Amino acid sequence: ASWLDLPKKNKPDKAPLAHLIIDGNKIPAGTKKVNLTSWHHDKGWANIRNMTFSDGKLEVNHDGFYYLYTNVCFRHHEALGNLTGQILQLMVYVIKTDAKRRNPVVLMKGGSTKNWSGDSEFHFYSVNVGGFFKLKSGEIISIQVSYPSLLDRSPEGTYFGAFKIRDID
Amino acid sequence: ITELQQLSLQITPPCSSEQHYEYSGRCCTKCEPGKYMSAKCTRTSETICQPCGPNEYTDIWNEEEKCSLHKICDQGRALIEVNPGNSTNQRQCACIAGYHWNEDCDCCRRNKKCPPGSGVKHPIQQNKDAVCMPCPRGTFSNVSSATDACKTWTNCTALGTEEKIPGNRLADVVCKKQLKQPQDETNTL
Repeated sequence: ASWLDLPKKNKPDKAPLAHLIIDGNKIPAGTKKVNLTSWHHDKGWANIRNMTFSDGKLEVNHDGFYYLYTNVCFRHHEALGNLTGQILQLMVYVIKTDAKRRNPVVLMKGGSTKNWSGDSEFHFYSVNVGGFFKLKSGEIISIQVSYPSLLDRSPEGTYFGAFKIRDID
Repeated sequence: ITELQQLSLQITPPCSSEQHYEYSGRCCTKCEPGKYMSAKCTRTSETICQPCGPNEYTDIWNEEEKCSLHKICDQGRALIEVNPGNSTNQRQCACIAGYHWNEDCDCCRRNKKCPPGSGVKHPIQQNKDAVCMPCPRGTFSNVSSATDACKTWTNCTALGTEEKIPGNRLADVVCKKQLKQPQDETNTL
């Protein structure tokens, strides 16, 4: 390595970013709130740079202010059975866990209660949330959803991501 | 000299072809379907192409940095796999029987029901809505159905009876009450 490399040592040469898309083949079943752990980080539209992703956890490697976002779609078709009489609260939560891997906090939430009984053959709803957050190296971002069995499996429907906008002064 | 120039122009491979791209002043070969471009060509080396991974494809000559992911034929949208696809062809999904794909809702819509007096045209095409047609003479439909074709009128003579009320589009022929069966007669004797 030459002296030219030195100024780059402390900062990544490219701003950290991540766009994770749902792995539609590995969506948990059920109606209880769950952590979504199966996402693609390098296939299709997914990308990651200067961040670490494993087991559903997006880890920050560089301190900074980040824009975080997620989009989650829920769907139901009558071919899978009737939802009559069920109270649906379709929610997404963006969770931050501190560097010591405890003390999870909710950074953002979104969703709606739905009545998906009725005669229509198909029901659909999407949630989008986004916000600007100060994140430290070692902190972890993850996604929780209610009612995973209603989750849309397409990568253009269910995804989350982050990109660094500026340093912490 | 002009002749030579013309000759060299003719020999230079055209770079407008679907299978080529221009880079660093050269005309290089794109990656064939089933592969993606892991490195562009340079002055001294050709394009490097790598095969698509599992569940991925490219279906044209391309300069993509990665292959596309196959879509999911989601049961929860009433979709089934028609063709699993491979590294060069995209997977194909279709709506399950009784439903057809609708672009506007991006979903599988219930097939329409053909009212009495009309029937569903057969064979029913997968992923297409039912096509209704008025029952042609000699057939009828007395139901509203998304699957049933018009039914042929009952042939009274074949049953050993005569026609009492003629049929129409909405109703079957009514046959006269059947004559006493020969075996009934033997029974009475």
